[in-house]
Formats: sequence, C-alpha cells, structure tokens
Amino acid sequence: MSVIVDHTLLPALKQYGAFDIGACFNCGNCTAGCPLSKDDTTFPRKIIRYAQVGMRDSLLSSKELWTCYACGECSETCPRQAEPSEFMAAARRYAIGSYDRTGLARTMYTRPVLGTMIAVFLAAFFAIFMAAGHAIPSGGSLDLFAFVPEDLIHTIGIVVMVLVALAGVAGLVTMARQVGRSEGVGWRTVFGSRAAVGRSIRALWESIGVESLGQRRYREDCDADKATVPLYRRRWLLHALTMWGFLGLLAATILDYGLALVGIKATGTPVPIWYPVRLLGTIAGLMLVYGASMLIVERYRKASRSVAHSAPADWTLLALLWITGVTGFTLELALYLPQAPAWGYWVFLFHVAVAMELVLLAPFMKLAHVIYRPVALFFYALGRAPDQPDLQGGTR
Amino acid sequence: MPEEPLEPLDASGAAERIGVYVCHCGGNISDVVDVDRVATEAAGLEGVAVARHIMFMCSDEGQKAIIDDIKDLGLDRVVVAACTPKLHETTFRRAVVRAGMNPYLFQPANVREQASWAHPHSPLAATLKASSLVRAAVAKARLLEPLEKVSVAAVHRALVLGGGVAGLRAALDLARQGLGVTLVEKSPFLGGHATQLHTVFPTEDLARPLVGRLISEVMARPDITVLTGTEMVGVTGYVGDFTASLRMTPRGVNADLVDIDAAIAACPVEVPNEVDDGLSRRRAIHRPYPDSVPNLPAIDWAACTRCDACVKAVGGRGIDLDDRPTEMDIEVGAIVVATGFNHYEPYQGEYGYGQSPRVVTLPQFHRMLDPEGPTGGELKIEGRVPRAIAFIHCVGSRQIEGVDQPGPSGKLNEYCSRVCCTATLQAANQVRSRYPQTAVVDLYRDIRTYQKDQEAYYVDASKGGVLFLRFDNETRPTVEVTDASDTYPLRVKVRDTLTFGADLEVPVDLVVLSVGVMPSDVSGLIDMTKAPVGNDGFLLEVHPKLRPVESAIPGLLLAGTAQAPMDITESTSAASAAVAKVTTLLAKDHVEMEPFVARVDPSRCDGCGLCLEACQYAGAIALHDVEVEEGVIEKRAYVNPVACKGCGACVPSCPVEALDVQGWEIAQYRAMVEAITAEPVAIGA
Repeated sequence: MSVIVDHTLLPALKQYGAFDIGACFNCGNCTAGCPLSKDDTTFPRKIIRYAQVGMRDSLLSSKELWTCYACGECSETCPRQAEPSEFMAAARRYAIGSYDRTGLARTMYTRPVLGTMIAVFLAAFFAIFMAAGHAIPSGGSLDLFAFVPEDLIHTIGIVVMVLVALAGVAGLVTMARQVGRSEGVGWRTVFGSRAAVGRSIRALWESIGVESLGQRRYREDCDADKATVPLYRRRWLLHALTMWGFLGLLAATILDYGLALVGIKATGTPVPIWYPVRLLGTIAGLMLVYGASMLIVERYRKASRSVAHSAPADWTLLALLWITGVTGFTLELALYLPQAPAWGYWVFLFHVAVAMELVLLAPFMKLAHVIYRPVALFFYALGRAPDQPDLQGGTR
Repeated sequence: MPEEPLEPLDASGAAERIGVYVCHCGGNISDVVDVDRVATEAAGLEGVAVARHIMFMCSDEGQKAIIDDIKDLGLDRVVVAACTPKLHETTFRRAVVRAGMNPYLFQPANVREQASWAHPHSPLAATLKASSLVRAAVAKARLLEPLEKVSVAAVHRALVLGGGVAGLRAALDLARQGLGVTLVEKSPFLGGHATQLHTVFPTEDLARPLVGRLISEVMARPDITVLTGTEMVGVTGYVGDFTASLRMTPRGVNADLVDIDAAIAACPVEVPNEVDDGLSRRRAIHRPYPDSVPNLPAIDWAACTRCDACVKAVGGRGIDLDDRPTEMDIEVGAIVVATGFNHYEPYQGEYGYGQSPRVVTLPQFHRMLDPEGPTGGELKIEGRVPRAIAFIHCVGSRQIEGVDQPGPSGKLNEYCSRVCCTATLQAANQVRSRYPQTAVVDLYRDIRTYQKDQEAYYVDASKGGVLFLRFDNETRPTVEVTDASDTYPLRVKVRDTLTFGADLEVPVDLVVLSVGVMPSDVSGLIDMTKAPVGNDGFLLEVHPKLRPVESAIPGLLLAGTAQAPMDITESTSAASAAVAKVTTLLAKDHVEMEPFVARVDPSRCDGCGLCLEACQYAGAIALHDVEVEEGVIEKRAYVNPVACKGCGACVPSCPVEALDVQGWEIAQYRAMVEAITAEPVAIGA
C-alpha cells in the first residue's frame, strides 16, 4: 500500500507557525542530538518527513509530537537552520487544530487577529453577563458576591467546565484512537487482562505522575546540560511552577466550592490568610505568577533557543495565565486593605471573566497540551513496558 | 668476485666503470631487503666501479653522491636500485646530466615495488630478488648507448576539432598566443549544445548571448579560420607536424541569399529539429535561431529532396543545390580535440519515455523554459500549466549491472554525468519561482552540486518547496501512464529511503528525465590517431592529475566533454589548459621527443618489408632505396623517428634482427635474462 504524496500538508502546517522547514535536507542531526529521541521514539526528523511528504495521518497519530519538550537542542544543532524545534511546535498546533472538531482551535491559530477578537469578545461577554443588572454595592468592605452572586459564578463555572470537558474528551478520544491505531494499541491491550490493566495503570502513573506532574524527563534530559542557568531560571522549573500553580488554583477553587456545598464554609466568607484553602490558593497563585512572569520575560528576551520564536498562541496563553494570577492577587490585596477600594469590584469582574475564558478556551489553544501530552506519554510508557512486545511502527 | 664471471655478450661496447646505488627508501626497502648485501654483491659484478647504499637516493644527498662519483671516479654508467622508475627515473636522468653524462646512460632497477613491497615477509628471498634485479640492470647498463632526443620542426598552427564552448575557447586562446588556428565544426553552426540551454548555472546568464560573445570574438580574429560543416577525415604526421585531411560539406547557401525567411518558408520538407531536441520540427533548409553563427541557413542534405522550392522562392539567388563536398589538407603542429558530448537517449519505456508525451528529457525541458523555444517559454502541456512535475535523476548515468538496462552499445554508463544534478535543480527552481502553484518532486539517488556556487541551487530548491525523494542504488522509480479515469495522467512510484523506505506514489502532469552525458561518436578520430579511450568511452588523458589534458598521442590535446562530463566552466578551463600545453609544445621551433624509437641496422636489413605490415603507425617505417655497394641500390627499411611511437611491434617481425627499439634493445634484454638466471653471488667471495 503506497502513500500518495500530498503537497498541501506543508503549506497547511506553515499556517500554524513561521518556520523554515524547507531548508531541511533530512540529515537526521536533529534526531541524533535530541535528548529524548530514543530508538523507539524518533523525532523530529520522522515528523518533519511526514510533513514534507504529506503523510497527514502518520503525523497526527505520532505520539512523538507530544513527547518533545521544545528544549531547542535540535534547532541549535541543525546544519541548515531549519528550526526543527519550531517546526515541532507548529506541528503540535496543527494537531490541536486537527483533533478539535469545532474548528475554533484552527481559527485561533491560523487567524491571530480574529482569534484575539474572539478572546476579547468572550471575556467581555463573560464580564457583561455577570455584571448585568447588578450595581456596585455601597459600603465599607468589599462585598464581591453582592456584586456578582456566587451562584451565578458557580453555575457559569460548571457550564464552562462541562463544555471544556466535552471538547477535551472529544479531542482526547480522536487523538487516542489515531495514536492507538498506529501504535497497535487497542482496548484489549489496555484492559484485556489483569496484567494488561496493571500495565496500563503503571503507564498512567508514568504519564501523569512521573512525567506530567513530576516533569522528570524535562528536568533530567532536556534541561540537564543547562548547568550555567541558575535554578530559578531553569525552564523546567518555570514550567512546573506555572503548571503546579494553575492546578493548585483550580484545586483551591473547586475545594472552596466543595466546602460551600457541604456547608463548612460559604463562599465569600472572610477567612484568615492561613485558612488551608486560602493558603493553597495563595501559594499556588505565587507559583503561577512567578512562573508565568518569568516565562514571559524569558520569551520576550529570547533567552534561549527554546523561546527563540514565539507564535501569537504562546503569548495568548501566557497573558491569560498572568492576568488571572495577577488580578487574583490584586483582589486579595484589596480584600485585606483597611479601606476597601471601589476598583476591587472591577478587578474582581476582570479576574473572573479571564479565568472563565482561560478554562473555556483550554482545548482550543496551547493549553490543550494539558490534555494531549499525557495521552501521548501514556502510549509512550505503554510501549516501553518491559512485558510489552515491540509496538512501535516506524524506524529512524 | 664471482667465481665464474659472466661472459659479456658484446664486450666491445661494454662499459667498465659503472656506479651502483641501492636506496633504503627510509626503510621501505631496507626493512626487508638487506641493502648492504645487495650493494656488496653488486660491487663484485663485472664492470662495476663502485656500489653504495644510501638512505634516500632521490634526496639531494643521494643525487650528489651520484654526481660526485661520476666526476671523481669517472663513472660511465649509473644504476640506481630504488622505487619504480615511474617515480624518479626523470630525477636520476637529470642528476647524471648535471654531471655531464648522457641521460640515457642511466638505468633504474625497481627493488621496492618488485622486491621489498612484493615480498615483505620473505626478507631473504626479497634480497636475492633485489640482487638479481640489480645484476640485470648492471648487465643492461653495460650495453647502454648515449641517445639524443628526437627533434621535429614545429608548425605554428593548431587544429581545433569542435565548435562548441570548449573549441571556441581553445581557438581564441590559441590565436591570442600567436598561433594560427583552424577551427572545424561538423554541424553547419557554431556554439554546440550550449546554445540549446536557456540559462546557464551558476551565473544565470542567457546561454545564447553568452556563447554568442565567445563566437563573435572568434569570428573577429583574422588568424582563426572557421570551417563549419567540416570534419577531419584523415591525419598523418606527428606532434609538431601533422597533416590533417578535412572534408567540407557544402552549405548550399551563400551570401547572395537575401530573403532567408522566404527560402525557409518555401521548403516543404519537415524533420525533427535537433536544436529543440525533437520538440519542434524544422525545414530541410534551416538555421537554429535567428542570430546563429554563421547567420546563413544551411541545407540538410539528408532531408532535402532537391525540389527547388526554396530556389524558386528567392529567384535563384544565393542557393545552390548542386554544391558538392570538397576536401583539403592542412599542416598543423597540434590538434585540440573538443568534439563534445551527446545526451543519453532513454530507451522506449524507460520511465515511461516514448509512452507518453508527458515524459520528457531535461534538455527538452530546457527548451520548454526558453522563450526562444518551441513553447515560447510557456510551461504548458495540452494547454495547461502542470500541477505537479517529477524530476528523475541519474537517467543513463551511474548505471548498475543487473539494475539498469545497457544502451545500444551493450555497455552501462557507470560514471556520474556530473552536470545534471545542478541543471535539474536549476530547472526545478525556475518552475517553483515562475509557477508557484506547480508542485515539484525531485527523485534522486545522490545530489552532487559539487562546484563553486552550485550548492546554492540545492539550498534554493530545498527552501523553495521542492520535495526530495531518494531511491537507493538497487531500486528505481517507476512511471505509470494512467487511463483517462485518473485525475492525473502519470503516477510515479518510488521507495523513498528518506521516508524510512515507505512506498510513495506521486501523481504528476509531467515527468522530466535528467539524462546523462555520453561521449559523442569519435570512432573515426580514434581509428585515425590511435588515441586511447577509457572504459566509459570518453577520450583518455595520460594521467588525471599530472597530465590532465594530454592524450597519450603526442600533440593531441583534450578539451571539454570529449574527455569527461563537464559543465561549461570546466570545459572552458580544460580548453585553456589544452591551449597552454599546445603552446609549450609549439613555442619553440622544434618539438623534442624521447629517443625510444625503432632503429634499423642497415647492414642486416634485407628489405623484406615485413616490418611495414607489423607497424600500425602511418609513416613510421618505409622502404627506401639505399646504395648498399657502389652501383647497387636495394630496398632497406627506414624508421621515421618522429612518427614511430616506440611500441616495438616491428622488432619481432624482423627475421634477421635488423630492428631494435633504442634503449630497449634485444641484446640488452638478453644480457638481463642471462644475469638474472646466473647463480647468485656468494657473500664475501
């Protein structure tokens, strides 16, 4: 069965990011120098070749797309300055755009102006919807939930979560089926027997625990030789802090709602700073703001190869994360100020609207890697399980 | 001293003061061969005055030892036992000349390649063999005679065969050196294959104006005689004084022809136009393009039916269909062979060639890109710009036995044609820049854009979106002509090693075969001159590095693609190099050649003439009337030393041993054989 060469894939991919992959002459230095590319998962050359020849299905079913952490080593060693690292990023954007069936992700990526307008419009919509018909309460202290009732926020939040879950699961299933097919992994491989289930659980732990939350290979392989960079500027740490902060804030928000549901603490009840949920939120917020700020600075300064090129999508995500974090802290500051300032209400509105948007757009923007990367890492871990027959399809 | 000294075969002429020098070659020889023993044994040979062994004979010190010994000891012959004479024979001949000795009284013995290197694990045997070789060399040296180089008066005119870029460049450079030049071109027009190109790499000049500049410089010189429609049909003589016979096909048209277009339009005969590589048709009276040189059209006699239509169309002025070929002889001192190349012609069905008009060769594709070409430079097939084009490299080049099909000659073209890679990428880039909507796929085995500024074509192609697919040595792509139901007329299938050996299929509208370069048919020239030809069919140089533009035939120089596939840059470089060689040959009034030629002993020759039959070189041996006694005139063989190549074929043909090749005489060989078969000399005897 021969593959029909498709000249349209490469131009399509180019829409997802400025890269110079035409200069690639398939020497394979990128793959040879990659700290993560091993015999059973070779990239970036293989993925680049799929793009050049137009093997769309092979590209979209490659777990290797997501095992890359964009350290930029390949772009450093590329003898043709073809920027393979930047290509991998663009290919991931393309994959996000393809797994998503609504077309929203594609629009966000390939039409930055329209995408930005959508983002602004969405935030404005959230803000207006929440603020509509509610006057700013007068009084000495900030009574935020008199301005926007917590029920409204919770209801919108739940709707947003459900929408995101639907879109996320749809994309996840699309991707998992494609990758599974090319890896020779089916339901039976994952759940077929006790041994299979055990193996799958271990792979899941590897993928979500060790790799996603623990950032092991990012830390040990991709960043290992950057000894000259101080720890507080290491990319893996900045990324990990941002992620932990994001997850911590999400957890704090959900916990707060949970406490209200079980009647321990109503939302909006003033609590001391050491109150566990608040403490979690504060620490997580610090992590997020520090991580996102540093990532913005590093990206702005083009401090390393990995941030030498930035797509609008990169800025959008960082901006949303940063705004969410910073407005959150401003709000906290306003709450604890002796004289409650009236701008606190507007900051609150802004904070809630942006946070809603960040969550709602997650499957349609760079944040979608939160969904897809663990799936790829799961297949990767499954393929490397010692009792697993050779699953990988291609060779270097 | 040997107990039984050798009987000298001809003691009368034997030298008695021979110097023998054994070289260590820094251990290359002395690590295996006991050089001290070899020298000691040599010292005991009859006629040897001195024998030494020295670390490096080719060094100043080694040469000085020879020179000093000649002066101090009065040596009359010198034997050096060292490396192959190919390396240092000239060195030692020059050394003895510096001491006032005739250079041909030096005799080498090769004890490195033939002893120490050949038998590294048998030191004793190697030593005995070295001794034998030295004995033989001494035995021969005793019979050496002083020789003088052969000298020929030089004709200060050169003949250039071929009017392409190499021939034009050579003619121009020769004329500028002050030599008369006759430039002959087989076809009726100058410029060669270069005029079939659109643009040339890497300068991107338009080919015709570029060649036109060279042509007009040549035409402007009164000391260059340009003969088109002319072939060399015979040659005699030797370097410095060749006689070349030229046959001139008439043009059929002369300067009285005014209305050229009317004459051409009147011709009813149409044949494929070779200038467009068969993509268009031309008339029997034709010219390749409006500003061709010569500008007058020519009659294609093979196609012309003598219908007189053209003659009538122009009122009989300027066209003569009764023109007859003429012949003439010219005297030249040297011949520059710039006979050029032909494109490889794919066989019927090779990658779909001949099965679909959508499979073309690269030269044809060049014509399609040229505004002066048959399509006016518009890349359209059946009225449409192709959506996708596939280029296939190495068609008719680097062929492999069992994989590729041999050509009509039965031989495979195993060589790389060198120019096609860059030419292909140049064409691909033109497509990409002029027709950005057209996808270009390049199927190759290896890309060799090796010359200055040519790698840029690869980079441009790569960046310009040309998709490269690579097939390995053992597999070839296939081109399938599809039926009308398919959306594409052609499908190219290839196993692509760059995509991990995946079987890929490329639907295209056009396939361009990057055909290789083959030598043009020079069998006539080879018959006439005995010029050596390589396995690849190209004319062979003496040595690719040391004498890169000289044929083994003295006075015959190689320029351009007659020798190997070359691009225009290399062809003109080679032409200029050939001219430099011509001028060193002809700069003096005389040309000197080695004296290793046949010689007749008139006292033995009985004039039987058998040697004339054995000789394959025209004019080398003849029978002359000689007055053997007073009043008695008989035929005797006579060797013309400048025509003789010293091959020795005549020597065994002579029943009375009247013939010898100087420096390699039968008596000398006998002495060598006797010396080798003699008992080894005991040490200390």
